[in-house]
Amino acid sequence: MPMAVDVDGVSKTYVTDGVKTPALNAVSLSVGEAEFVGICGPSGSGKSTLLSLIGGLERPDRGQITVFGQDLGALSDSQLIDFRKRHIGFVFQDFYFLEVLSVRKNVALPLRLRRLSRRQIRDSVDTALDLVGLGHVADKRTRYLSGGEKQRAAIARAFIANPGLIICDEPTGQLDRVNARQVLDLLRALSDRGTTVVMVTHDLVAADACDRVILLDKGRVEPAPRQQAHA
Amino acid sequence: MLDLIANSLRRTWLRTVLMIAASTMCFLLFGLLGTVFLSLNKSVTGDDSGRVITVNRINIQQPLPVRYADEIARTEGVADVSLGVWFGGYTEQPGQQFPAFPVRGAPYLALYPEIAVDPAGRARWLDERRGVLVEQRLADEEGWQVGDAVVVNSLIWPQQDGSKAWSFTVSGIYRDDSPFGARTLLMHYDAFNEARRFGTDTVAWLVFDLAPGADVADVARRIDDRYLNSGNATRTQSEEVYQQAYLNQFGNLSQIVMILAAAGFLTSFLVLANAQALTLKERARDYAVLLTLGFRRATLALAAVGETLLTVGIGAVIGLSVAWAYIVWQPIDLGSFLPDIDFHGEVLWAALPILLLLAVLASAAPLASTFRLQIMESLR
Ligand SMILES: Nc1ncnc2c1ncn2[C@@H]1O[C@H](COP(=O)(O)OP(=O)(O)OP(=O)(O)O)[C@@H](O)[C@H]1O
Ligand SMILES: [Mg+2]
Repeated sequence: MPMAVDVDGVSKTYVTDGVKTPALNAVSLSVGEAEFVGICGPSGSGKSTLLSLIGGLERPDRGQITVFGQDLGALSDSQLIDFRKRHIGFVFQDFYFLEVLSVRKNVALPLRLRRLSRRQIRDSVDTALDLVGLGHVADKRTRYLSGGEKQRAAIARAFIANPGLIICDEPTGQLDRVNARQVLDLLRALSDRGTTVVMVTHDLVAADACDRVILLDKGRVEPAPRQQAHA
Repeated sequence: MLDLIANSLRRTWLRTVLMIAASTMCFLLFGLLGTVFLSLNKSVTGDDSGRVITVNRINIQQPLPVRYADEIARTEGVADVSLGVWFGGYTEQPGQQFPAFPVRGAPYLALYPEIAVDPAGRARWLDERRGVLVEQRLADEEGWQVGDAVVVNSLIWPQQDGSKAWSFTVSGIYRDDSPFGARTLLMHYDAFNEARRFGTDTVAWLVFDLAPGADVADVARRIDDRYLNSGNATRTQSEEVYQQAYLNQFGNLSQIVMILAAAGFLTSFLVLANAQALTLKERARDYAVLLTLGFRRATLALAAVGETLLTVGIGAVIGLSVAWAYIVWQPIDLGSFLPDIDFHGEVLWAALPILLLLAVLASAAPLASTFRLQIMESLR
């Protein structure tokens, strides 16, 4: 199976005010194409750090990260931005919208970076919003959405430009069971359509929805990850 | 791009309004002060008349004997000589003076070709001892017509009977568009001199043209040297230098105006920079999100500058419009002996670099953050 993500011997240590915090220590893992992988582990185990490295938001101190065959370390900062734009979608725990803009405009942002007509953008956004069940709030400001609505909008924003890889940091962390379920179903649907999904989660239900779960502890991958076959 | 700007502006209305207000103040000040500044400078540098002025060396308020006029007229290199006295004229309110001067008629009109009077009016005035020539704007204001008998009060000069209300006949009306020309009034020195109660045979200044080929410095030195030990020493200088000295009486207005404008600019900048600082944290988060989505830092930087430029620009338009309206509807009166203040197009041109500078300075902080920002730290 061709690998979507390949993490090889990656370490990352943060230094703030002279204090060194090792976040990741020689982590190696890989994620297959169209795989839906969960990353679990206690707080502070380096999950968010791992995601930011895979997503090219930060660079590792050591080791190599390859996404869709591209060694991220070989890219300049602006090439990295470009790579992100074309291949990676992000869903954060805290949503992160431009708050005073409408849902529609927020979701459209990634498309603004492409040569598309207004009409094309509008159609894509409408389709995406219908898919996540937010057609009725398209013109509301994101600031006024409920938590579950926000997270679904964030997912729409993440997949609207058809990235090969979607990275989610605890997308269900702030949601109730029903909303969490909706979000997981959406991610599952994306994975079924061929998108690779890497999701950090605390939540057992969420972990259950994944094809496979990778356990992280104190910056290391646990040797015996829980395998789970998914129907 | 517009959406990014709109987002940032609408996120915190208060900040946006504050920024527009600060910039409005800046450009309002700039528009008003710049206009005053330009008017002052224009009146000095604006005309190269070639005229030379002789005044008392001690200061320009001290009088000179009238006989100097004839002596100077005989000096080599000097052509037409006239003289002038401050009359301090007003009709109703002493506070609303207009520049009225007793002069020697024929040489004065020769010296000031900018005084555009028709030949009939000119002839009539030179004929009428108690006649006055009135600048058109003053005549319009007072509703005076040629032939009217008018009374002009003097702030300074009583007549023999003690009355400061002088009667004249309007001999002619002229137009003078030079910087000091508006609302002027000319009367005959000889008639004035005989009628006044004190100060007889003195003048405030002498004004003359140089004969062709004569050099200002040379003529001035010869005149001033002659009177150096006379008790009424003179200072002779070109009209431009004289006007500058005259304006300097008012406490070097240009400099004060410049300092005020600079202070206004600085204050506005501080307010703007402060307003920007207020939202730096939220802004960093937005930038981090946009960077994550694949926006380039340069795009964000452009949006940051564009946003400031927009707010500062709106302020500039409002401020300059108000300044313009103010000057047009409510002319600034710096006293009757200062030149008229007009709104100059140059003020607008000068405002442009100021606008850019203010915008760039005020967007320095967000600009820096677009380039330095670390995504993960800003999302924490
Ligand atoms: N920018 C940073 N500067 C300094 N230390 C950091 C930074 N980011 C993360 N860390 C540290 O690195 C370690 C791993 O952090 P990380 O956010 O990856 O953990 P996590 O597994 O996502 O935890 P949580 O489940 O609480 O989100 C923590 O000890 C954290 O304090
Ligand atoms: Mg985390």
